Amino acid sequence: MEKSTIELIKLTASEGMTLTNGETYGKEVYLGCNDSADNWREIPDSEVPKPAPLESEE
Amino acid sequence: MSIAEKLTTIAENEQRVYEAGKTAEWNELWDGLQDYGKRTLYQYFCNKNVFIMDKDTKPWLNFKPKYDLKPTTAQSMFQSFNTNAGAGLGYESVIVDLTQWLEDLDVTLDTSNCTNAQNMFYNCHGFSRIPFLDFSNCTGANSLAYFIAETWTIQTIDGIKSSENTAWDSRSFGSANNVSHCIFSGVIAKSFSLSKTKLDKESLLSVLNTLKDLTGTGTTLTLTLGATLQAKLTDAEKAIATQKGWTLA
Repeated sequence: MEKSTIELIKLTASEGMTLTNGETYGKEVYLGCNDSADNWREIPDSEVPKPAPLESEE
Repeated sequence: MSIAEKLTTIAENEQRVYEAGKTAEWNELWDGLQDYGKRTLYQYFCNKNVFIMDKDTKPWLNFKPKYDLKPTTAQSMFQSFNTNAGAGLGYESVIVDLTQWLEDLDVTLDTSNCTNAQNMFYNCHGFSRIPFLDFSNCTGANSLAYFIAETWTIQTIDGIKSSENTAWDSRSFGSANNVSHCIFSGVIAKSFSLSKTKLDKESLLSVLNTLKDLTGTGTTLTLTLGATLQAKLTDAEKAIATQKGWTLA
């Protein structure tokens, strides 16, 4: 039998908000071992940028 | 030989001559298109409706390479392939398994020397499955931007090999809405997103196991999965990534 402890630090955005670290956006974020909640903040969903295509040619 | 037998032989010979002529034309066309196998620049090669995958009525318009495809640049190689192939052209759109298609031709797609696959399958609606892709040398900025994006026909990628310097980013799998299976290998060491895919659990686990171990570096990289793909993973599986220094978003 093997027993192990799994630690996950999960940040969850408030309703109508999205989490961001300035580059990545998400509703639920599981922090990597070198990351910190201080690196993340909430912004309104309406402020989440839409990615622009590199080329618009069809 | 009776007259009937002679007429039959004449008819068969006529067909053989016709087939030989078509083969000669195909050889001449693809010898030129692929420079007798030496071609490596394949940007825009199959862009839009240059080729129509209609075996029954338009076989001469099909994508039927003679030599192995070894692009050093595959930028937009299959961009907009088979887009609205029927609209205004009188042709019917056909979606093919590119892996099987190339196997039937005894031709391979080898991207191990490719340095630019930007838009390679952007807006491509011609395939349900595509072959193994080695992106070890796609290391320049934007070299994998939208490599597979704005497509809903491609469901399977036989596999992807990544190196530590492969230039993944948030646009690489942009709107690859129905990609559900792709096994990753090598090392992934750039933040990127798979949230626009439908990758199955086996594929997701291959991604997690391919992420570079960042422990001890103080560095954080991010893999964006979105809620739907996150839900396919158990906490223990998520921890495969987080314990290696990757934040899952």
